[in-house]
Amino acid sequence: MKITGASIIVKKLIEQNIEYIFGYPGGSVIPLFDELYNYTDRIKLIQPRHEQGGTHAADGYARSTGKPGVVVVTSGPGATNTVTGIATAFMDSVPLVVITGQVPVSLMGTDAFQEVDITAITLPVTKTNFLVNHINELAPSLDLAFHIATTGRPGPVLVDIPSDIQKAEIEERKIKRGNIENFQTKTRIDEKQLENAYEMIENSEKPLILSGGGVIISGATRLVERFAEKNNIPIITTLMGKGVYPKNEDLFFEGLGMHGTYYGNYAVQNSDLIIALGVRFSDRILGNVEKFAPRAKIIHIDIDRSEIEKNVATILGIEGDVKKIINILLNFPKVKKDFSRWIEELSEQKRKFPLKYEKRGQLKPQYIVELVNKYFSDNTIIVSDVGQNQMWTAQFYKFKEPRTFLTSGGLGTMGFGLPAAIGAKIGNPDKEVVLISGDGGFQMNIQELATIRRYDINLKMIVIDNAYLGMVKQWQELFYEKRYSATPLPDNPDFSSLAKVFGINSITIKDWEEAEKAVRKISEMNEPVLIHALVDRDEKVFPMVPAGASLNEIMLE
Amino acid sequence: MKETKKVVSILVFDKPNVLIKLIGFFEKRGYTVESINLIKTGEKEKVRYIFVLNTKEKSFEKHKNQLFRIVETLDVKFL
Repeated sequence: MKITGASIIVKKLIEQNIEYIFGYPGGSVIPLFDELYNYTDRIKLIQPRHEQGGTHAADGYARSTGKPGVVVVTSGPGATNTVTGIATAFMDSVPLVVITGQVPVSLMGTDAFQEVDITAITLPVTKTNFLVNHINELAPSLDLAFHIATTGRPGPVLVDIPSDIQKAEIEERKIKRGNIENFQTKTRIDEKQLENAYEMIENSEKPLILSGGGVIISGATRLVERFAEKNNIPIITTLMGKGVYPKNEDLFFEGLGMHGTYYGNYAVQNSDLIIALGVRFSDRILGNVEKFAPRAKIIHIDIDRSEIEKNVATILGIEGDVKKIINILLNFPKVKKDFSRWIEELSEQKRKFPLKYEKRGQLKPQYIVELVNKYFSDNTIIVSDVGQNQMWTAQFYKFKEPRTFLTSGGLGTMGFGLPAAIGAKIGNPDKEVVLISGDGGFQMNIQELATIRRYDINLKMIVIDNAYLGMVKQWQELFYEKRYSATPLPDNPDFSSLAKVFGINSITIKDWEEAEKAVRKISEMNEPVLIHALVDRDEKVFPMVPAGASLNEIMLE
Repeated sequence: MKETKKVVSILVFDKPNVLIKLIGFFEKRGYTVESINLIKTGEKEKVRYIFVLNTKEKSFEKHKNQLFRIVETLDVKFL
């Protein structure tokens, strides 16, 4: 029997247990959308109002569930609109499969209507991509796309499918499978290396676990906590690593880097052995790389060997899945060395220089984050946008579960928050999802309020409105003589009224008391709602390590 | 610093755009590509590229690992 290309695509999605796709139609994907129309009971289509929103939504779905997010868009502008979303997912290692329509094979290369060379455009921001120019290649390409997106270090893969390939027919028995053996990641772990690592910990005085996004992705959160508790080793996390939280809170020193805690950075700069798990040592945590962790040897464990020795010199680089590796390390006996003096040293720094803000005067954004922490349960998924709102959320919310903090860490994509929160709620209907956004980023994908209304997505949104692009303004204030070039947003819309136009309830808050009432209220509501929070316009994010400075040069205020 | 010549052999899964990725990889890191040879391996879907590169970069070895960020890379050898 013969089947069409469009039918192969849908069958492959079903084979991969895809429940939701995030799709926007267009000329080059009409055959595919027509086929999807037959399967609305198996694959639910979530239609955003913009392809970028759809891509971030698929990303939020993937980050929060661990399953691949699937995007289907048309050729040309449909495809280019996904690029920011793809790059966002690439930087944060999120599994996405993006299916783009393409003009018919015969028109390719003729500058046809809505033609763009999307595989060339997305080459540097995908793990790999495929241009399917023959029906025989369609099924194998899709097999490989899902395999590559979800294995090893996850990431986005794009499959570009011309519309005539979607309509072409092939004998079902002639359909080949993708040769995934070519893309197997290394699974053998070198136990000798782990013995070395163990010995180094045993011989250290001030060890420190630096836990990153890889720990969350590999599902090793609880194991890493156990490893730290068993051996009494302090932990800090990167922005992407939030969610690790040992029951013994005395071991936890939160974040490091540009807007980390004072004591987290102190820990890095004074440790003599850093055990780095699933981190990529981004410039935002390193500061000045020459002066980073001057006393420490670094053991780097990562599934992606290209990260080892990329940004920092290591004494031991171990390639492999962090979950498997920590599992083996947990079988070693408890380290005999007592690190309690080191932990006491860090705790003293924590007491001396805690995270703080002034709890008087105009409403402070940090207080709103603390209220969310107070009124929502630990398994609530918190989604931030990018900028000050993101850093305040990271600093003042206590993330205790993996996959509960969704944020654009690597690319820093403003406009990520709202659509990603939509995707997270779709993937987690039983969990609360709270978006904490700024006024700038919220307006970058604001059209997705219509998506919330259409699918009745029970999302709690908080727009922290300081009428500025606050993070850039903060840099201008500190380093550019208060020359606020292009950062004021005095003409913001009234976000409360705007929500109402989209059929979404809203509350405006201006002071501390209203804030508490409103956050408590939305925690009890069972429908989408937006809080428009008018906050102190001059509040800044501290601590702060200026770009390129050593972590020792941290500014506390 | 003096330029040195490096010869590197990269076994890849043969897909369109792999060569572009490899060239981009080296150019981003300050290498100039002097010549490229493609060698068929006889194995299906696998080919070997021999790059002759000019570089001022001292720590050439560290880029060996990073070539594996390109998922099609199967093996890297310095000649």
